[in-house]
Amino acid sequence: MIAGYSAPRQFLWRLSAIGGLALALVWAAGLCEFQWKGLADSALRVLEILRGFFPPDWSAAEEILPEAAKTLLLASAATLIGSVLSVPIGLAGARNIAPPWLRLPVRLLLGLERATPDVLLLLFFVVAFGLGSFAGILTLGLSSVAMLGKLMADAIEEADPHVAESVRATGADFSQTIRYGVIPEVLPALVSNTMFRFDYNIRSTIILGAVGAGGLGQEILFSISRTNYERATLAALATLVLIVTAEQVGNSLRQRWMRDLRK
Amino acid sequence: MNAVPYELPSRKARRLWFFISGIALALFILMAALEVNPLGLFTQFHHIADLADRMFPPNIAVLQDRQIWASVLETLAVATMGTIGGCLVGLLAGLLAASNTTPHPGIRLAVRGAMAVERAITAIFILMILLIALGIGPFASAVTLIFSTIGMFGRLFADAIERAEPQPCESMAATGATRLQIIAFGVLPQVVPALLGLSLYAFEVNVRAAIALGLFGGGGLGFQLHVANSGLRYHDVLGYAIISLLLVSSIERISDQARKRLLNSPTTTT
Repeated sequence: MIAGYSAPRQFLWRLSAIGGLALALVWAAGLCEFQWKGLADSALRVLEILRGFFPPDWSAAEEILPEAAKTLLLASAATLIGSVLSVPIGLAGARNIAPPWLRLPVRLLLGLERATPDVLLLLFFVVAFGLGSFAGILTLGLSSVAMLGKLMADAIEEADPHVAESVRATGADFSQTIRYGVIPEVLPALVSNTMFRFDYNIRSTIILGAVGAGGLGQEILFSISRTNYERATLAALATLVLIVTAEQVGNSLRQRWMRDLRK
Repeated sequence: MNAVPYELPSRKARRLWFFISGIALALFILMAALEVNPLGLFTQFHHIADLADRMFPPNIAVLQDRQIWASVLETLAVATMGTIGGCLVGLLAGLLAASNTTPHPGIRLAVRGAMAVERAITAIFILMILLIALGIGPFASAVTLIFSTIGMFGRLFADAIERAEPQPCESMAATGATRLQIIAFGVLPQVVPALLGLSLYAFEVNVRAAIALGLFGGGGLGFQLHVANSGLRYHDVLGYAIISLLLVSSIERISDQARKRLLNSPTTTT
């Protein structure tokens, strides 16, 4: 028997959990003005509207391709910035490396950034710097740094301390210990986090683009508000290709690099 | 003993510098292609100072505004709807897409493919279509979130279900249990904690997404932010921003706690 286990208690627990969920659903559906009765009508209306989105307007391809390239460039630049800066920031936020006066403020700032939705950050930067890539890169770069930096700090804290100790025992100074005892230990984590973040950044750039960073997201938003639905479909197809390709390339790169790193 | 190919330190250092300059070059090219001057962060820092000047102090009065609490609730409702609806359908999709519970490998591939396509269609596009069809407001937002939750978490559910141990199911099969009985009493009890943990994570993701979708007309806190921002009411914007930050971080904390208790509680792991 498992300690603390009792069938009636489990039953009650499950009943109240299901009841709570049902209540939450009813409450949320009410507030969302969920149209249960008209659901079939709504679905039909969606299908009817979708008809206007086909076929995609291939003639706009020439204008949409540069936007797709911009989205890809934005995501790559932000990922690279985040990946490079995450190493020093991760070191500054790791318990076993940095003193508390450095680690605690770093961790606090990282946490604060991660709690801020990206769109909010972009809203601020657009007000400050105007619409465009600069605001976009600032937002995505910052949010990549915050996430990768936190993951890096965690990875450094979890790294095997014996490696760093034995490097130190050979007479290595602080920077040498980090270079040869810590960094090689966390390199696989850095690579895999970076690839994950790249995937995330591609999706994120599209949403942020619609808020004002430019690229495919903006293209979709503008095309639809100009009721140029077929053009929006082409842009959406471009996002589909971009995301799927990024996922595939990311997976194969990650596998290859991880294999190289393990050697 | 195998001879480990030994690299000269000078050669190793050269490779490191090669790598570092490659990254620097890549960054330079990316910045040039985007026509972004990274030094602008320093030379144009006064813009950020300007903005801070315009935004500070945040308008605390928004906290007493009935309207804003109504929109906070609306954002939470959109996220709840998206999470519960998306996770319920996602569970079904996950069962169809997991190799150990799927009725047919072909169905597994089809459902996984559909979810992959859904993930690759940006939420903005879905939201825009629904806004046209259903009108501006939280309903369109909630339906968008249901879709995106199915695409992302349906796949994670399927992966979690595939990690279930096969032995209990095999012994059930040996006693003559039907397929549905095996799924209900052999597979699901093993993976319920993982699925609930993922659902809590889905709620976190959806609260953030609900704020973001609100900016485009999906209602809630995001819409208030958009309205204040286009009306150049920057003190209000900062007030709303602080509210959304508190909302997101408290949801994250609550869901973290719930996840921890979930994983320790004996009543849910059996």
